Amino acid sequence: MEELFGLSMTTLMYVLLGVVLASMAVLGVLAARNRIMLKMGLRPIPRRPGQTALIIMGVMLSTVIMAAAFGTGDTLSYSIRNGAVEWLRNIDELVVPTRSGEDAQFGAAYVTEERFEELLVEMSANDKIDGIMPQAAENVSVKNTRTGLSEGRMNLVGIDPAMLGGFDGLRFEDGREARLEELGADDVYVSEPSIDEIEAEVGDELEVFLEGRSERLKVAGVVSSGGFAGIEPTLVVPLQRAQEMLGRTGQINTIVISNRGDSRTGVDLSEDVTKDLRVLFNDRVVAEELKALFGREDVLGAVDAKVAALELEVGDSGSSDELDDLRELAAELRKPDLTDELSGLLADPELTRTVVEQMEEVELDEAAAEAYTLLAELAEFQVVEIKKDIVDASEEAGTGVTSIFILFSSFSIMVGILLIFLIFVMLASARKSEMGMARAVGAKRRHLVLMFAFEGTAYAIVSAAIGVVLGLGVSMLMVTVMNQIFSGLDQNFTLTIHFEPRSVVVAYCLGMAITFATVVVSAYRVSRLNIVVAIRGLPESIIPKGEAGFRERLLGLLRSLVLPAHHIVAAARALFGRRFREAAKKLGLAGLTALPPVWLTAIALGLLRFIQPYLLKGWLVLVAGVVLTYFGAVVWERVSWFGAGVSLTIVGLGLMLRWWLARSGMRAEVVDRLAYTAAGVAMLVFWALPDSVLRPLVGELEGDFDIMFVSGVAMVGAAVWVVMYNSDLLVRGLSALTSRFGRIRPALVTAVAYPMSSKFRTGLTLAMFALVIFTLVIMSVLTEAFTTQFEEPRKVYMGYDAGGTINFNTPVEDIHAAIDSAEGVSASDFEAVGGVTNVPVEMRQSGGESGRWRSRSAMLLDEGFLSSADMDLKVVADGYGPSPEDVLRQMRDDPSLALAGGWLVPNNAADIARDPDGQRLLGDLHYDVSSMEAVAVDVREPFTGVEVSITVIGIVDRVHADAFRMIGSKDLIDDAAPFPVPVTEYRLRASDGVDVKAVSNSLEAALLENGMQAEVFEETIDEQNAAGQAFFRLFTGFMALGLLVGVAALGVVSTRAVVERRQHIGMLRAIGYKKGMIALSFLLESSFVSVLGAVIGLGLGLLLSFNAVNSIRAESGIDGLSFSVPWMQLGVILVLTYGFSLLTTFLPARQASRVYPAEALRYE
Amino acid sequence: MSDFIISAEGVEKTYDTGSVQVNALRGVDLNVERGEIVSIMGPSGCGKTTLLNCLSGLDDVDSGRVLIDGLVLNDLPDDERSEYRARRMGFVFQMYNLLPVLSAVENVELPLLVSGISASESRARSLEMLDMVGLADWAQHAPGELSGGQRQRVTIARALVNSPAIVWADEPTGDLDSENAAEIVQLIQELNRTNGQTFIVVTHALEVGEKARRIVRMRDGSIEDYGLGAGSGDSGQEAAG
Repeated sequence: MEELFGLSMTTLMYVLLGVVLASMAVLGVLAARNRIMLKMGLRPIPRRPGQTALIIMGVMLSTVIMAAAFGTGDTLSYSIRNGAVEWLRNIDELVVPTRSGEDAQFGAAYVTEERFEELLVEMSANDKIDGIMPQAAENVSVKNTRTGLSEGRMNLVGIDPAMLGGFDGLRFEDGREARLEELGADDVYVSEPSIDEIEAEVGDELEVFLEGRSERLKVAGVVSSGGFAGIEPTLVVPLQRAQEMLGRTGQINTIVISNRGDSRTGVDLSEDVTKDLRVLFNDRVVAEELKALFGREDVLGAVDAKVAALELEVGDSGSSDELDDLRELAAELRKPDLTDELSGLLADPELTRTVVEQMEEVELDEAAAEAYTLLAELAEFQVVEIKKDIVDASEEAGTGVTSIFILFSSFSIMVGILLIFLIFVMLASARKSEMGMARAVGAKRRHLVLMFAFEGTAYAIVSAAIGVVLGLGVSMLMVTVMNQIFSGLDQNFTLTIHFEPRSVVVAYCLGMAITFATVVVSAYRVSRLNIVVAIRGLPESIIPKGEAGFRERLLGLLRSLVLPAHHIVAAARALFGRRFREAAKKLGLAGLTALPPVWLTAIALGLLRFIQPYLLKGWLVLVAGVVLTYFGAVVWERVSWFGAGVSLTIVGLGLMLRWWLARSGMRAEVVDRLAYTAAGVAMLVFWALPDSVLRPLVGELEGDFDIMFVSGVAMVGAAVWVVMYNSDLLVRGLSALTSRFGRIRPALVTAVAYPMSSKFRTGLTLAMFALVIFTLVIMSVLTEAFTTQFEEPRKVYMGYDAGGTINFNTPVEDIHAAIDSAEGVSASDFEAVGGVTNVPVEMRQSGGESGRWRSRSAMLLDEGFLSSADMDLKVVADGYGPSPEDVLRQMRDDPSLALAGGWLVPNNAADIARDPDGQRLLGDLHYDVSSMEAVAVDVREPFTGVEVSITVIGIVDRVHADAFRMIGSKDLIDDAAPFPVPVTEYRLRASDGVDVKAVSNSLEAALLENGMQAEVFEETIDEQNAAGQAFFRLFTGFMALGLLVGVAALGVVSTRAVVERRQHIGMLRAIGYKKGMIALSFLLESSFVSVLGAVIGLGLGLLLSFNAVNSIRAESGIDGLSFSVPWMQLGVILVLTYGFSLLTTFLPARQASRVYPAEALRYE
Repeated sequence: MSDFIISAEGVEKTYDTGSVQVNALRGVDLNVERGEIVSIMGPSGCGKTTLLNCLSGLDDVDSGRVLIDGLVLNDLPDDERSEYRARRMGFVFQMYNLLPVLSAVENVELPLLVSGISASESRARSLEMLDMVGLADWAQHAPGELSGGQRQRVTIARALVNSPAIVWADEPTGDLDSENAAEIVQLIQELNRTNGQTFIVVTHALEVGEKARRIVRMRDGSIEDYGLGAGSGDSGQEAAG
């Protein structure tokens, strides 16, 4: 994994390592100079091993989460990359013809060996290439005559044995070289996976089914997977033999390239080799024409504008491949002649797409249309950087997985940070009187900060290390689960555990840095104690809080603006006064504060202090909220910013109300309750509003995962606020409720009173619990919604129960005749049979604004399909409906009529407005329309260039699995193509009472020669659901790590409570509380927090996910998406959470019950 | 039945700190009559609080017996002892030991809740008791909002709310100024007179101790002598143990 959130991992590692080492060095120096504080800080660690263990556990949790995310990302990157190397070995690029030859056949393009020989001369001159192989390869059906087992899709690969130099050739399983030259005329090598599929052994006779005939080959050996033998079941023969079998004498369909270097390093040259090859394959005349077109002043102006826009996007320091290429293109276009560099750049499809899109952006539509035509004619061959693409994808996958895991667990990480804060606040309150004494005998505030910093750092060093190890353990567990999921999907892919040392360092340093920063902040907060209050253990609230005057705050702000100069002046003064030590110290401070991060922090703190009174009075918060709301809704158009702005506005109003009420002479607690409850309730109401209420007011806003984060924090914060400021009502209610249960009542009174009296601590713990449960509830409900939407196979697959794909080289002549003659199947088994041809096509709107061809997939239906399909249409064009049957009948009559899959059009008008070019293929048509006019579209077959016009007369409902395709009549392409187009898939609807699985299998066996592979749609849906659910559960499980944090928080709180309340426990025991009552009181207390947290999290999570599901359904148009609560799963989560929270409180509760009254009363 | 509500016979208690063994009580014998106010006095570390803890069942004795109303307290299992304390005893501590998270009246009603008295009756009796100690207007206030004297009155109200036979007070005036201390002592005397409850008061303050009917003086874990206090109406006389 190379990047995280756009930052280079290497840079991140060095920065973090630098920060951590510098902090440790500074702390080391301070420790040497403050040995007493070091001793005071470290002393409690070995003295209370139980507490130390608990603290380390709490502190390490966020590191565990991050390390697990990094470990999983690394493993994924490594495994995909490794898989690519094992699969391709020395193969780096594939060169495939872009146009068909004269005797073109559907879906394939071949070139002659003569043309290859011409290219070979030039390619061989390239010193970056060390292997060039002509290849003819197709899919064929194969049957092992000995075992009777068959495989409908085996690769038949023909390569030239004389050209194997540079590739590492074929090897038998025992490592010996497998020489193609030694194969007899009817011999074949089979690859290792063939053993599983058809149980092939040396000497077996294989029947290979080709177009209308079959050939028999003898297995001469089993070769290892990888390289030319691939990873799928493969037959390898000499090129000439393959050409004969495929009826392609003297032709090849792929040129395989190996770059200089081995299987791992060759890919480093891929970019250069690709560029060279593109230059070679380009038609120079067309390239000249393109140069003239792109070199026009207006086009160059558009390119320059794009360069400027990208420069703005990546910032001063940044650069991107796209920007570099565009700059180079602009420079090359300005040169008088067509250079090789320019030729190579023109053949880069991604780069030219950017240029043409930019041309369309500035309305150079005609020029863009011309460019599309020229680009299609530019190159004879397309270069596929197959290994580089996979290696890049592996990086993206690793980075993506890590980013998503970290983003989704950001709540847990945040909760982990809150826990660290909570732990140190509690540690501080436990040592309050000790610290008060220290202050009384002359210790300064900074000494107390240091004391805590030393202690915190000791915990951080150990816990980050344990956290990293455990995190990697968690990722190993996750990889094991993922492997189980993959084994159901793709047997060839297995994840291999791998951790990059760099990720381990980053995870450790991040864990350390987070803990260290939190400790320093909490230590600073703690150090501001009042000495008398601390020594006597009185509540802080008895000290009235003074507010610094305007002048003092302004001076503070100004001082922070010139902080280094301020210290230099002080140093000069000390120097004049001959106080050399002080002068040196001030100079050191001047140097330190001149560092930009330190200086900026000082300015930020100065500014914060300056505006603090205005923030507390609310008006400044209100202003900030209104500004953020405006920017969120109008400028950035993001719902998260808009929501954050409104929330801030409400908080501002609440603070203003508080300030205003306070002036009326009301009691402070009443004022707080009124103001904060009003603000909290208003915030909850705002976030609970469904989209349909806000949309008319602010229009369509964009939302992503960030909305979950912002809404979670705002809703949970508001709910906790309301609960904590009305805790007495809750206590009264509970009291009344439990008045009948005399036995537990005394325990309940204290169980509720304690948490409700420490509002900050309880609020924090409550928020931790609620936040995690909130996310888990949303994840569970969304999982449920998405996995239950496609339940009915016939609904999803247009009225069919099963399907069977056919090898297009061996089509079925007459499916009905084939069914009649098949064993175990009869025509009466099927109610309907429909044929489909799935083809890649290029499309554009006829006479539309953009002349650009867009690659799409087309599903062409035969007569049988059009007569029997059960299709849901979202909308039908005026004059063609109204029923789907009417539409299908008209399509049978007129092959030029077609339907657009629901996913081919944007969701709604707002999507079009936001991204006018985007996915637009059908003008202003979108999924939300209630009526439409027919739209004319041009369709082109990419290999042959055959072009036809169609008329789109409806939009297919997105409930169908094929709704991402253009759906038309097969007659359309049959009429237009110069060669026969076979049916590539049959869909079957079984008669009532027929075993779909059995008849599908029988038909598959009967149509082996045609390479039929059957699937029962119910199984497909089940498998997809199972895999989807497994991934969601894995994800949910990862996020549930946050629950550990919440549970640990309860453990820490309970353990501390036992120590803090020892005397109270003694008193309660004295007045008659039994041991059991004391233990029950502690268990009820933790239950109170965990149950209340769960109720808040569950309630808010259900509310938000209800809105989310409705909003997604409205936006995506998936009518099958419905809100349903997975009560079972939620029940398990809640019960487990509660069970674990009870377990962590059990020990402290037992400890509390064992306190001897006399001993406890004596305790101080 | 003997009229001694409390009898201690050869009570011994030793604390083992690991390195040192402290003989806190060395065979203490003591009888207290029903309705008496007895003060236990002596220098710091003489074993006053330990004796109170052992007599009230807050602590175990190593040897000897403690009888309360003829019942051998140290033979009872912990739960029964707790129940006995809830029904028959009240406690007043130097540091008040009120729960800061509850209001005055909620603190007072705790012993009633433990005894299984209904919520409404508990509240009524607690308010009545607060009224008796002069804190009716402060019932809903948290201990943090009360003065030291007021807090100790709440503690006394809590100790008396379940009409105990015995009230144990450990340095009840230790944290109060002389004026407040005198008020508390006066309150104890009044309650003793009105309700006939037995008060055992541990104190090192002479002005408090001498208000008792009997004074038990301790030194090094043993009872040094007995004397009569002002409460006996025969001040300065030696009294029988």
